Amino acid sequence: MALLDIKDLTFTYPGRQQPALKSVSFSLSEGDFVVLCGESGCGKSTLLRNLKTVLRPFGKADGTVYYKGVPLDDVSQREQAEEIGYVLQNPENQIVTDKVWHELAFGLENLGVDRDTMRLRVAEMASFFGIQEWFHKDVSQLSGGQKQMLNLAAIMAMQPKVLILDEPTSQLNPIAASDFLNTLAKINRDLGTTILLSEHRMEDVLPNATGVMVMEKGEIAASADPRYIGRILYERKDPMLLAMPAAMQSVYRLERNIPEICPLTVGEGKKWISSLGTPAGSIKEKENEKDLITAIEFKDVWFRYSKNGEDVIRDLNGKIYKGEIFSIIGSNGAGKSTCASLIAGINRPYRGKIKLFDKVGNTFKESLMEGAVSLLIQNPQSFFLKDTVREDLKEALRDRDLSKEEKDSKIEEMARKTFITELLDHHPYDLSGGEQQRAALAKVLLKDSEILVLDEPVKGMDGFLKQKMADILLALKKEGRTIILVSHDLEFCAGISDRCALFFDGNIASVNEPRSFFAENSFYTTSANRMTRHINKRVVTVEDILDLWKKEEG
Amino acid sequence: MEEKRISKRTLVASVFIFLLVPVIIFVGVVFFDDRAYYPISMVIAFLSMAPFFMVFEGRKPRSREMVVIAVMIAITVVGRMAFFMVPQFKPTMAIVIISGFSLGPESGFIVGSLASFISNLFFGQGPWTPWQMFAFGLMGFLAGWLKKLNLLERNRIQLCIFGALCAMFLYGIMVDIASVFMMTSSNVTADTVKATFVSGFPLNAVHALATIIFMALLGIPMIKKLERIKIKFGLMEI
Amino acid sequence: MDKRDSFSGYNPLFLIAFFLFTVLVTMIVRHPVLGAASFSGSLFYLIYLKGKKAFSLVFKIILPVMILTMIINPAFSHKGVTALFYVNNNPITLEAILYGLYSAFMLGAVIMWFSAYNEIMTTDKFVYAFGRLLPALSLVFSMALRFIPRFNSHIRTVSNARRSLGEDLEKGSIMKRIRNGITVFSSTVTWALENSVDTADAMTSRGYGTGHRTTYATYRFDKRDGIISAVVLAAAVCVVIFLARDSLYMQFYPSIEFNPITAGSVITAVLFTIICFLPLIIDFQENIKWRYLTSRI
Repeated sequence: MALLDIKDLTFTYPGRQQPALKSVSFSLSEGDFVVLCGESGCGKSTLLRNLKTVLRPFGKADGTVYYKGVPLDDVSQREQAEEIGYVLQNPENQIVTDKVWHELAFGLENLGVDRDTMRLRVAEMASFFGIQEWFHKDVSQLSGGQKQMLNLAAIMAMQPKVLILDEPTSQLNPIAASDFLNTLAKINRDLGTTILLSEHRMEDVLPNATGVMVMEKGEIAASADPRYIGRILYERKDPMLLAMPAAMQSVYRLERNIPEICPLTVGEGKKWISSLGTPAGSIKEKENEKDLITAIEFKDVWFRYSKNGEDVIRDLNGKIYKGEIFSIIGSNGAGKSTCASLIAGINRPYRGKIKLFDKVGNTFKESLMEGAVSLLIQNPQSFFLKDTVREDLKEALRDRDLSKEEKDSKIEEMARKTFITELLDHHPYDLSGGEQQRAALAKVLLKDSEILVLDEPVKGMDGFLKQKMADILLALKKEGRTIILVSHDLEFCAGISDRCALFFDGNIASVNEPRSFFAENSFYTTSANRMTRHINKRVVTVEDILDLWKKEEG
Repeated sequence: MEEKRISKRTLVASVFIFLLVPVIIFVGVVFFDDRAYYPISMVIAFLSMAPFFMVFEGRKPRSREMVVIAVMIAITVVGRMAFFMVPQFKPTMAIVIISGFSLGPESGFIVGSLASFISNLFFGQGPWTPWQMFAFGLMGFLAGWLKKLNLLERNRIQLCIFGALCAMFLYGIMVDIASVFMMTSSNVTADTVKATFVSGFPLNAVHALATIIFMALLGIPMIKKLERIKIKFGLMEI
Repeated sequence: MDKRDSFSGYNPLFLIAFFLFTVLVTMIVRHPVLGAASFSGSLFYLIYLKGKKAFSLVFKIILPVMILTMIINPAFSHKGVTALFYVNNNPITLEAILYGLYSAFMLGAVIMWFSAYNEIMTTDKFVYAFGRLLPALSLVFSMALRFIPRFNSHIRTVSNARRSLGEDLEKGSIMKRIRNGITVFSSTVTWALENSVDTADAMTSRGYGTGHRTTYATYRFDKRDGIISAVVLAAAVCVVIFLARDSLYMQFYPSIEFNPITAGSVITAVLFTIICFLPLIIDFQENIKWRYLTSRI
């Protein structure tokens, strides 16, 4: 018997014509590990939230969800709380108490488990997740990845039968995300817990999954084993193929040598690439631009947050040119975000200086960068001060000498550029994550600065939203603006940047145009590059693979 | 009309606060001799909080309610930390009053008393703690209560006046009396009380001014935010 | 020397009871010997706990309060028979001055006990101590403590966001700065409330409110706690009994008088002194034990 059985589930939000879910049916058996994917706003969260009554949003639902053969409405809250575990997107918001140990015990306390059993279960989970070292810590001392791991552990302590996770890694950096997803696989493998997960990071999750479901506009468009989903999407000509791992994409987009078993990992992809033989095509190389004007120059920059603290930026030197998109990548704590704040003049170096167009600059004595540089910091919600997006955008123009009409038209124009026109009169907190990011960007762009610094602009976004963001950024580049990206998303940086820099230990370890940059790296590089580097090191994206091999036989 | 009625719980708590406390004070003064004003007053302050806490426990608050209360407590404490520049110039009281106004008398009491306890964890606990807890709690309670009786409306001027009165008289007098007890113990005389009020006046005035300013700037917007969240939570009738 | 505090390792319930007893006795009794015991016990323990920081607390807060108390009493109370001099026709009496002095030390001791306890009663001890009696309230307490550092860091984030848009919070007139501060604060309130929806969901989803609730105990009431509780309780009962018999009481008004010294009063004084110094005694004993243990390793 299936553990969860969803039959003809249709769900409509109040005041909407279109249902968010259209007769969705599927079932989950014991031990399944199913990945749910689809474009943002396709109804993934709505579907997942309908699988637990306390999380079900307001609205009209038809059809039935059966849990172990019983309609979910007849399953007691207690049983649901105990057996259906749920991890939400934002690691911060789900933590209820102030101590790690208390958080682990919280669910068990609610179920009225006696102290001895509680001790045992908490101890078990703390060991399984490697939490012992921070067991007595305050939650506020943990990193984002640790917080999400804590959320998972706290739910696992209740020993659920099913684990439902709604984009749990969207707020994490790639290493923490990959850790988290590996732990999930371990839970599924070692404890036999059934898992239903919505996720963008297919590369990390598909090799361990037993099934994939693709959602489209509230319907399940395709559902298959990870090895066969590529073929289905290929036959449907489904754009979701672009969200799949690089190996799978290459296979079905190249439409050559399609193997019986679809490669999912970099290793499998590598084997398949080798089977293609010598490439006949060539990859497009960018032309080197001449007459570069220096927009920003770092000269022996040193920075630390407090007098007795560690240096976060050490001896940073380098140049960023006008009109280029410059990406800064690197691991956590390498000083990337700090570097962004230095460029924006939020922090000032204690030694050295940052020159701007050879004139003004940012030294420890003075900051002359305000106005010339705008920074979009990581948390878009921190830009919202008003009750509607429009009000917030107006706030950005408050000090400008413009008539009301001019301001309004500027706002309209900016909204069009950032694709938020229809959201202008919404409350900023009613927007989705990607929309909030664009609204915050609109606010920053209204400052009309020459130089834009964007800290993690595509965090938590799926491929479609990233493409939207890329379009916005390329349009800005065309206007002649200088854009500095700080990001963990190598694929995104590789596709859009003019130059990439690897930040390590407080300064730039290497910098080059993307092809040469990624050719030098073996770990900090894209999947497409890792798959093909034994044949051609200058491959960066899946498109490059297509260019290399497509033309061989015409 | 239903929701405007004062619930039994509120009534019990009100009786406690307005009747029982003076009775205990009277008993304390008469039956203990002159030497224990402060410990007795401290015990009273604690005891008079007990019914509020028990009522809160007894109605088994839902998680949404608890989250909102915890958020408001944290906001109050953070407010005190954020505006550290000028002594006594704090948004604390304004936020407690707003919480009581929006969340009802009982939740108002919890917000006020716990916020003052927690901020003392950071700023220093002392024999003044129970008094401060009680005074802040009472303020939140009063704001919610007067709202229920329709005596206090969502009106900037009314809220500012109420805030100033609370700061000057309710909180000011209560804490001043407490410090008289604390410092002079059995020597409490009309003179000492008068002197304390006179010397406490400037600080209380600053406090009242701060409350007016913060209430004027934060009051209505914060009430709106709380209303929005109450609608989202389906918490309209707490 | 190792400055680790061992006294705080005892069960929180014992710590709270111990604290209530010392503070209440300090406030109620009136005798220089007991006052001195409580004052010195709390002062030394505070110094042991906080080191140099204890002195700044003593000089910045406690001493001013004590001085104020010393002045206020004789200034307003004119009871007592021994008038030393007159101010505005009001007698300043020896009794009132001594009473002020005594009250000052009493108050100083109480504040120091509170400070010492603020140091050792970490928040999870409160949650443990009140978790059973007031489960909902102690959960709210824990949740609020979870939110505070989060909100503080969000305030910093918003300030940085403002600064990145060229709105510097540290510039401009005072009124502008307050306005700016309020804008940041107000946006933090919105953010906090909006994000609390998820927190509430996470609570309900993990079964909050589905039935009887138990509490996880990070502390256990073990044999060591039982022994110390029994010892302190016995001592405390003796102190209370002897105090109730007024064997140790000082009268200030109208004139200063002591009760005669009896065996009971000596026992009371000794026992109370031991109680007040108990935290330090335990710490020193533990330090010696460790020194012995390390020397054998």
